[in-house]
Amino acid sequence: MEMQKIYLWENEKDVPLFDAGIGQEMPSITPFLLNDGKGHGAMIVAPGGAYTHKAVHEGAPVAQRLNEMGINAFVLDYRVHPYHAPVPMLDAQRAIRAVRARAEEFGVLPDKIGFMGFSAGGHLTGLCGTQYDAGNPDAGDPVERVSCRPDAIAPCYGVLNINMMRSADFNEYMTGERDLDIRRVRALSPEYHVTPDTPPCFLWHTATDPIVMVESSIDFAQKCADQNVPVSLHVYPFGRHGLDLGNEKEAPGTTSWSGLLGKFLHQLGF
Amino acid sequence: METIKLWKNTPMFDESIGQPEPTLTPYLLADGKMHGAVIVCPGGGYVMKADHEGAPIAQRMNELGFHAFVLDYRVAPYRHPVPLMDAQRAIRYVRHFADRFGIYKDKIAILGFSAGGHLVCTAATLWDEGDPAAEDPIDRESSRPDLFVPCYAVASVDQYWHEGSAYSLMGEKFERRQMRALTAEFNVTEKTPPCFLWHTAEDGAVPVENSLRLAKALIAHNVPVSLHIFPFGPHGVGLGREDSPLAEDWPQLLADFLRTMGF
Repeated sequence: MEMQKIYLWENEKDVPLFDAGIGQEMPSITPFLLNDGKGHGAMIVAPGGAYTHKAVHEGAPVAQRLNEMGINAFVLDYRVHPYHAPVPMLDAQRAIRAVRARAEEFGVLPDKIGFMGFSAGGHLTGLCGTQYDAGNPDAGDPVERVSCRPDAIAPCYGVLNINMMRSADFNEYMTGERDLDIRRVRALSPEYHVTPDTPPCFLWHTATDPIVMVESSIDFAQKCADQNVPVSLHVYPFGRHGLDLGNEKEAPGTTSWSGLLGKFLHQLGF
Repeated sequence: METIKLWKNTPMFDESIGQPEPTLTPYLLADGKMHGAVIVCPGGGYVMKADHEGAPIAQRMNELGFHAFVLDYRVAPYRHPVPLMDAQRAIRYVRHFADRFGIYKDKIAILGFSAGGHLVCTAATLWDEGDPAAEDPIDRESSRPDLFVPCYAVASVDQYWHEGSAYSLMGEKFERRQMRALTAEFNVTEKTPPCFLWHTAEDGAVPVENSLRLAKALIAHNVPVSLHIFPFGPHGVGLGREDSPLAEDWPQLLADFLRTMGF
């Protein structure tokens, strides 16, 4: 059930790097909760949109699908261009902490909070899965005291290596710079930062994706396997970029991915 | 159904080895309609053929609406090219008698596990159009599979390989050239048939690299690929077992892909 959105910080002055002049709202999560009195896992969903906008078809419909499978969901509204890295990640990490800090109230298992996203949101997912901390026990804000490590990640046709998305525009939307030096490319490419502690990972992609090359997901899966991180990868033969829940007419077979994700999450105890 | 001998006089047959002549065991749907077919090659490191990767797979293919055959191919001490000859002959045979079986002549897939997966990779990369001058009409048929399905396959006998399968196939001494010639990722072309492949990421005998690298090579040549990596399970799970939760979904995903490709 969709509920009223919750701002990740209560006041603009508390939002790090907030610039009211940009005209974007404060970052928020919109809960889609099962509310059946039982504890369930939860996924935070980051829609894609090249860090310029958030595609609505990759938000609420995905959250509703997760609910159908018995998983709580939160759609993340994160700040995008002209905000630049690390702002989207700050919002994503804050969302993970916020759900964890209020897990009991939401009916969410506090150690079953995953993060997923599409395209640029998949990039954000990869960042969250490879850069996190256990929280600051001395923080005055109780939300900041809890961990922002996701318990599972699911990048969907995600940009996990910027080399698979060689686009000066994308660079600009992500960082404010059109040309990135190779150190920056590596620092911002989750593929290079997989460790044995990276959370279990579910990936899917279409082999013919003309915007983000499928190697982005295949290579990330290889890195997970190298580090003994549980990984599930599903590559479908046909289909454009941005298929959200899949489309049998355009890209036969692609609607199976959400069910496979549901089983993967249930297997992890979500 | 009754088992079919692939040749009246099997080439390179050596009775003293004590293996039977290569055969196909048909598992045909009895609905009188035309269907695609899947030829199943059990694995076993090119030294044996695992039962759980044969008949149960053919039966599952039947449940999903496809005709199936289990191939009994020759293994060590027979060396390359004997297993490949058997696989190619099986494809030609099914194609030649397609009408009789109720099979679309251009919808013949070959599926194999582990070393059987290596066999299907070689069948998919080292095929010919048939010999129009052959006396035996079966040999006039193309040996190109219309689709191939390597399952936790020894796709490579070069890097990331399964040592036992490589030695059983190529003998004690072989050159890098031969390893590469029998490693599909180096031999993919635009004419390589569409491919469905799956593997468990935890496979400790045949590393998942085998499937990931092959998939990338196929995609680079614009060959349609459906690739599925499941997180849990050791080598050799067949249709799936208790210790390979999630992997049990592969037959349905394969059926989806076969239908997409017109089977």
